[in-house]
Amino acid sequence: MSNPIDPRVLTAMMDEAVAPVRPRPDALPVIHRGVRRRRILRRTTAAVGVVAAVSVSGVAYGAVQSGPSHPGLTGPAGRGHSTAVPTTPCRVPTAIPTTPERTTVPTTPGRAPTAVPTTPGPAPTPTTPCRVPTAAPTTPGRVPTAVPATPGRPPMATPTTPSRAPTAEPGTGS
Amino acid sequence: MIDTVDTQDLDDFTGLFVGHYGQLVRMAALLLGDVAAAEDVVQESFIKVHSRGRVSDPLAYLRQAVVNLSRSDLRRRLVARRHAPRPMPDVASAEEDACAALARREVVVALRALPARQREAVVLRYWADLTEAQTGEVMGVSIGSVKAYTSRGLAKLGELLGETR
Repeated sequence: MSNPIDPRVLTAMMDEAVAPVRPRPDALPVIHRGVRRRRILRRTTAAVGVVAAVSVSGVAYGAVQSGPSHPGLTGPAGRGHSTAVPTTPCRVPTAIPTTPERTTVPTTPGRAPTAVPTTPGPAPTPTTPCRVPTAAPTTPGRVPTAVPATPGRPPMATPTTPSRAPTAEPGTGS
Repeated sequence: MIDTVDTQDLDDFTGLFVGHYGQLVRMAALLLGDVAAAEDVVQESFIKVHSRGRVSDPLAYLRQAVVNLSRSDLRRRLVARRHAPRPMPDVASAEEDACAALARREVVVALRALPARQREAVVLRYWADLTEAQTGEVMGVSIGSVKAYTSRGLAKLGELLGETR
């Protein structure tokens, strides 16, 4: 291995090599232009970032706010039950005494039984209980189920509940 | 070696430019062996130091930026050379003529033959006249590593320059 070069000689050689290097005279304006360009780029990037962040957060907030009232988010079964199942008893049993113990037999022949059931019994058509009152007055086929309380005639049981009808036989009850 | 200019009447940035731009371009030219690339690197370093705002030691920051950007430039050149198409037959352009004076210098050729770390250590230590601690700070290595790099670099340069003489 050869001897290392003397550092002073090396320094002199390097000085001599780079002595003719002259920087460009327009270097400072170039640097200023570069600084301005960087500044514009940085500000533009920051502005775009802020706008993107605000829009994303706005969309997320809107989605969260409108989420519960969206029809697709609630279960269709729950909504169907809430509208189809009546919370109040149907009005049909008030006109038709389906409970035999409440169908009192008239003791006096001139008086019609006025049975007002406090606990209405099951409707003849339990699957669609609410449609019965709206359909009964208009359709003639439903008329026999709504037996008017005429004097001398006991209320007839509905054909759908035959087991309870015999208990309402006139003259057999006490 | 390092030019100093009275910058009392100048603002900080312009004073830094007037006082040290030329010297940093020469240092980058020794590291890169290319004056045009050296100017680009030093201008980029000045833009960085300006964007950074207040720096405790702007000159040290500039030196470090020049060394780092020179490393990046050399790495980029290496990749570009790997993927470059076959060169056309030699026809010297005007730009090549301008750079040829530096590139033909035997010391610059010898420096380019050194590994990057050894070249940086030698240039910073013996041309920029930095201490071993300053050199280590700029290069991001310990003082022991600086000593090792400069020792190996001087030995290699002695070998290379001894052959050419």
